[in-house]
Amino acid sequence: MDWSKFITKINPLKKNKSKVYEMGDFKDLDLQARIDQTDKLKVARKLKKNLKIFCNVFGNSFDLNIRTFTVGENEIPGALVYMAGLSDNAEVENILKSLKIELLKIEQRKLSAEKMYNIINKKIINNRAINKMQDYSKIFSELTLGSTAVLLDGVPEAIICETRGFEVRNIEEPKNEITIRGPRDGFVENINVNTSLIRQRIRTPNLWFKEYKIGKLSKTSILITYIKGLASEELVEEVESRLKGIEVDQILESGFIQDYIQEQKYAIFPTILRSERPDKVCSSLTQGKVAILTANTPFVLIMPATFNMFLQSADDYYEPFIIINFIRILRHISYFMSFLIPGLYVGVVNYHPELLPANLLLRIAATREGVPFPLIVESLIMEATFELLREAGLRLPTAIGSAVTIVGALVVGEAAINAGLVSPPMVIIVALTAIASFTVPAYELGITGRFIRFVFLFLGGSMGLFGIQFGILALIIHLCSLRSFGQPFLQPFAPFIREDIQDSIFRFPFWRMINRPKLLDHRDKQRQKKGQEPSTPEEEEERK
Amino acid sequence: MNKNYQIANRQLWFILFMLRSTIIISTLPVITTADSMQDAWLSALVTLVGSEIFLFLISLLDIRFPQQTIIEYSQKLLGRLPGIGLSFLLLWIFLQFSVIELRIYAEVIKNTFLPQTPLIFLSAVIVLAASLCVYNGIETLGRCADLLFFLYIIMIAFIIIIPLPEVDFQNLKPIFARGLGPVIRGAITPVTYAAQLWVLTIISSTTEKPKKILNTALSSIGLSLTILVLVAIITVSSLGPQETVRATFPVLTLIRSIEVSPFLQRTEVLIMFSWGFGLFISVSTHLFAGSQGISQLLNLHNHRNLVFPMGLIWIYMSIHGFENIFALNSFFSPRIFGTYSFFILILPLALLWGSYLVRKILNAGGKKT
Repeated sequence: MDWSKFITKINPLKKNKSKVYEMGDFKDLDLQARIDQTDKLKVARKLKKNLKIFCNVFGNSFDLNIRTFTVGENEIPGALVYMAGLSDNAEVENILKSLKIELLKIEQRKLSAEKMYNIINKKIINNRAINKMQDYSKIFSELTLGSTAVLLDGVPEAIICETRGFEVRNIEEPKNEITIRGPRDGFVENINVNTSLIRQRIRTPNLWFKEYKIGKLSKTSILITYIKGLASEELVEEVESRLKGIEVDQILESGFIQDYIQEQKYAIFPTILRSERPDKVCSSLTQGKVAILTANTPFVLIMPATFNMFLQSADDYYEPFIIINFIRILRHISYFMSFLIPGLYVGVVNYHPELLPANLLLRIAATREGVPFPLIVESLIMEATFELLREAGLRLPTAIGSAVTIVGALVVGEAAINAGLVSPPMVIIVALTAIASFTVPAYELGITGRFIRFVFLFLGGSMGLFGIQFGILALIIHLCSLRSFGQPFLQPFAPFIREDIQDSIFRFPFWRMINRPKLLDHRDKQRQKKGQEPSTPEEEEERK
Repeated sequence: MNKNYQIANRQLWFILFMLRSTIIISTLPVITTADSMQDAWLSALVTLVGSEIFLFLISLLDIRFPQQTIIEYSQKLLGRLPGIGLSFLLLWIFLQFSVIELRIYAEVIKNTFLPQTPLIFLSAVIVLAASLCVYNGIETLGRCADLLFFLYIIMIAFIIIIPLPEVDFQNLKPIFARGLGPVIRGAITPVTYAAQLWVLTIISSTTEKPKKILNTALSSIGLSLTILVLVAIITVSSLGPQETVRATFPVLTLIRSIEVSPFLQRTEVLIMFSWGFGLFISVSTHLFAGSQGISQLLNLHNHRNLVFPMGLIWIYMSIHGFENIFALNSFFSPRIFGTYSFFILILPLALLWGSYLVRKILNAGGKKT
């Protein structure tokens, strides 16, 4: 007599607990319970039972492919299991072919299933990587990566063949980090392509990729990339320990990780740099930094990041250094302008008109004649409209995007002035901030600027220059308190590090950048030998 | 000590420089508080020497106890209760001196730029910024000093360079017209003001190389007071002694009177900005010293939670400490401030050094026998 059935009959409350599940048959379980059950599963001896488990766990999914075959004189049934779309079809066909044809060449004897299995494993299958597995949890994770499982009736084990192969986007130039000069390739979604892009540039075996799988459901592979011996051990350990602490359902983009591993909870500035450009990532790696590659996204995270890195473009290193110094300084100034100008304008005109030269003041006052709004409201409306336009243009296809720009230019520019709703100087100010904000190479820093522009507008509108000063102080305090993986965010300026000025607002010529930037350990300080600067023939003679 | 709670000696240098030069340049007490007239720069020289002697004494004492603040070692030297008493005196000094600076700045902003804004609002904003900074720790303060110093020094250079075309050295003559008396009297207030350097005895324990603070402090204060001498010379020689004495804020008056070009008429904004930055560093340092001191007195692990409540006291005192700017000025007069100097400069120094020497001699005697 089955007592458990008897008990469930008389006590319905106990039903759930005492229910005995058959292997692989757990249709109505919750997610965690399903995962736990799958972890316990092992490959069964009977092929039919195994196939049933596959069907049950994957729920007869559309992309689950099962191909059956028989081998030997005994006609031992076997099956190939793989995910269509993730596996390379030719590879799978190849395995099937060798199972069917190559096996014929071997003496046809009545072999037991076990022996047949061993022959298949050692002699027949021709594949990149062959693993024998018994745990279903491992088999499933291999399957979802694109591997193929070979099962044979009577053997409680599966052969896992590496048959990964799926469509990969072409390598293109990243659209958000365009440079005039420099390599035209960018990272893609496939992590293998990405590692190859880095490996092609840094051929040393000391370039290490350490893999982690994060995400309960997504099992996304994440690679910690660094140059062993150059990156500080402390830094690598810190990155690892922060990554290990993450327990989430899914990692769809590197932005998911970024939120978990950055230092400050409430930082408004990004403290981890992201890039789609292999050259940028490689130059960071050779400085002793660490990069995190995430599967299924072209965005690679670089850490530790400093404020200056966000205002540097890749082709800063490819053009003559004197001009680049000028451009970099310009870029820094324009970033600060992009959020200070509206606040300064409102503050000065409202509270300290005496600071302006008389002519300019009269001009502004004359153009503001008849404008119905107070200055602060006027500028808030204009800035908000501009932000709306920008946000609208960002998501629209190019064809409609240009229409939006025309409407924006006409409505905001011409019509608003003609109707006397807005004064022309205000439009100039908005245009200036817009242009200034477009010079920022890193989008993530740009959006921070857009946000604090409104804070400064509010401060300037309520307290004039005194408010602006408070804003600057608060901004400096915030920036100074930020850290990126133990490194002060504002270095080399706060704290001031003399050697690292070489690549900050300024860029010294390559032959002057003798030392690597001073990071945590400052290992292997010297990057190149001294005295490599070019010289004219006369100078060379003098030296001799 | 944790590596995270350290500042470099360079940062200490910047902090001390800004701390000392801000208030002195803004109010130019060598001129406004006494009648040394055209000999103000001589008073400034005396101030330089006097402040350096005082600084030398406190940092020499501090070097004997490199990892400790004065709160800790005063109890060792003087015994528990007198040590606590002295600590309270120091805490009061931190409060009072930064509050005075706050009040002066708020008054100037109110008088020149924002006449309709209440004083309490102005000082609250500065104290809020300072509290935020101190809340983030001494390291943030050090980095802020790193960053602001460059802005500050550029503006100081402006203050010195802009009036140069107006300078007329005839205004400085005759030297020593009325003897040495007024010169010394002019130096009393600014030397007493050096009492704010007691903060050094607290922040020196957070520096990377506490044993080297003697160099750091002396050179920093030396340079800032040299700038005071320069500014005094320039102000008196371009405005003339009579007008300078009449002004409440001579440097501001000087810069206001100068028109660089038709387009750049009002360069005093620069002064106000640099003054604001310097004041911010100064108030933050005092606030840090105060909160650190209290937390050590009460054996608290963390000074952070004290910062915002203390900020409230700072705001309150900046409003109710003085009736108006003239009450402040009369408080600054050598007669009152000079007497005060006995309590805040000479008494603590004498006590600490006295007990240190006594202990040393006793110990030496003990060893011999």
